[in-house]
Amino acid sequence: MLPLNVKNLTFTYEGNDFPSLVDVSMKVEEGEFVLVTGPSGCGKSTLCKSFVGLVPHSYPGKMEGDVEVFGFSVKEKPVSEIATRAGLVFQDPENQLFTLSVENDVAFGPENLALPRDAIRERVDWSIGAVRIADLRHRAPFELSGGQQQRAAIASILAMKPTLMIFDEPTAFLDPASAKSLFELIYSLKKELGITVVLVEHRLDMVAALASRVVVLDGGRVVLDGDPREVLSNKVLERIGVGAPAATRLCMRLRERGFGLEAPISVEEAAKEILKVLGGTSLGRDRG
Amino acid sequence: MMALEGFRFRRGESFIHRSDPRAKFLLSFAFMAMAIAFVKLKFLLLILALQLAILANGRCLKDWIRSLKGLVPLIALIFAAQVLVSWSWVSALTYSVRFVAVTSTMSWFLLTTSPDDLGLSLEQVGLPSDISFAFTMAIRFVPVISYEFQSVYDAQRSRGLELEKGSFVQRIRKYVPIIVPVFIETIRRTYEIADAMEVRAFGAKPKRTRLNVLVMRPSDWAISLVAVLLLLGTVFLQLSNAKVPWINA
Repeated sequence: MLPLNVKNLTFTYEGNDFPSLVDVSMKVEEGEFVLVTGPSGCGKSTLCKSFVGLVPHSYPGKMEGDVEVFGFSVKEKPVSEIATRAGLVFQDPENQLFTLSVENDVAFGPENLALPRDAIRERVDWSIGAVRIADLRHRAPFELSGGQQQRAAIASILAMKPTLMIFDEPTAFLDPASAKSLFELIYSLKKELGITVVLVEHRLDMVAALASRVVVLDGGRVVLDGDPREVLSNKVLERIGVGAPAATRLCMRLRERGFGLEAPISVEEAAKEILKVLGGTSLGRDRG
Repeated sequence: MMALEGFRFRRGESFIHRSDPRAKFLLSFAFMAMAIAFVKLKFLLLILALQLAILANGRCLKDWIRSLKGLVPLIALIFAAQVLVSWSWVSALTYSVRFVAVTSTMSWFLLTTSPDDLGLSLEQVGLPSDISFAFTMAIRFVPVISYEFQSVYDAQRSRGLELEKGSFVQRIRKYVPIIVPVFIETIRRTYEIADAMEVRAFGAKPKRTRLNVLVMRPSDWAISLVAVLLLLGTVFLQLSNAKVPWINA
C-alpha cells in the first residue's frame, strides 16, 4: 500500500480566483525520503495540508482529483483518523505546543485517542527519547530554544505513531546550526523507525544528500520529480528561483567550462569529483 | 504589566506548589471571604501574614512584591480616598491592607498553581475538557501575544509612530496601527494552532483520557478542611452578629 498517492490534485481556496495546486500527481513509496522544494507561494504548504486531510476538511475550497494516504482517500476520512497514520510537523514550533510542559504536550495526541494512561506514558517516554529531549520533560515551551521546541513538536507527532511523517519547513524559524541538527534527527528517525518521510525545505545545501528523491513545485505544478542528482543539476531550478546546493552549482559551472564532472549533491561529493579531474591528487584532509 | 507579574506561575517544588489546586483554591477563597467580611486592621494583618507565610513557602515573595509595586497607585488611591472620607488614618490603613490581603489571595494561588494543573482540576470537577483546555491555552499564549505586541510596538515606533504626543483621544487612536497587526497575527496564529490540534486528533473521541490525574493527598484534605471551617466560621459570624475579639469586636 502506497503511503501517499496524489492523483491529479487541483485545489482552489475559497475566495481565490486561481488554484494553489494544479493537477499535482506524485507517489511516495514506503521507506522513501522525499524532498519537496520550490519558491515561496508555490503551493508546498497547501500540498502538505492535503496529505493529512486538513485540505479540504479544515480549509474550504474546490478540490479536484484525490489524495490517498495508505489507500484511503483523505476526502472520506476525518483528519483525526488520518493522524494516526500520517503526521504533519509545521513551521512554527510555538504554535504546536499548547500546554505548559513537554510531557503534557506529547501526551496531548494519545489523550485525544483516549488511550489508557499506561499506554500514554509509554508513548510519551518513547517519543521524547526518540527525539533526545528526555531531560526536558517538565520544561515549559517558553523555557526551550527554538530547536528544542521543534523537537518537542516532533515528539508530539511521533506519539501518534504515524508511519508517514511530513515536515513543512520545520527549520524556518531556526538558526543554521539548529537546522542542521534537526535534519540529522529527521534522518536518523527515518532510519531507526523505518518511517517514510516527506520533507518540504528551502535549505537544499543541508538536505539534498539526505533525500532519495526530489520534487520541485512551481506555481502549484510539479515541474521536476526524480533522482536528487538529476533534479538538482537541472537548469530549470535557476529559472524559477530555487537555489540548488552550492556544491552542485559549482560543479555544473565547471562542466560548462568543459570539465567532465558528475553532478554532486554534497560538498564531499563535489570534492571527489573535482579531485577526479585534477588527476587523483588528494587533499590534505584525506592524508591526515 | 508589572502588576500582572505577581500572578504568573513559576514552577517550584515546595509544599504549596505540590498541593492540590482544588484545596488551594478553597483556602484562597476562604482568605478572600474573611478579608472582605471582617474590616479589622489586626485581623487583616493576620490574614496577610498567613498569606506571606504561604508565599514564603513557595519562594515567590519576590514576585509578590513586584506585583505589589505595580499596585502602588491603586493602594495610594484607596488610602487617599479613605482619608478624605473618614478623616481616619487607621481606617485608611485598614482598607489599604484589606485591598492587599484580597489581591494576595489570587496572587499566591496563581503563582503556585500550574495552569495545566488548574485546567486539569477544572476538568476533574466536571467542566467539559474543551472549556478547561481553552482556559489553559489562554494562559499559555498570554506571553506569546504580549511579546508580539511589543515587537509590533517597536517596529511601528522605529518607523516614526509617536505615541507620547497629542491628547488622550489622539494617543488612543495612534494605537490602531499596533493593535490591528497584532490582531491579524493572532487570528493567523489561531488557525495554525487549530491545525496543529487537528493533526493530533483533537476531538477524535467524545471523552479524552489524561496522562496525569490529580489525586488529593491527606495534606490536601487537611487544607480543604481548614478552608471549609474558616468559611463556615465566617458565615456564622456574619449571620449571628456575635462579636469575637481580634476578628470583629
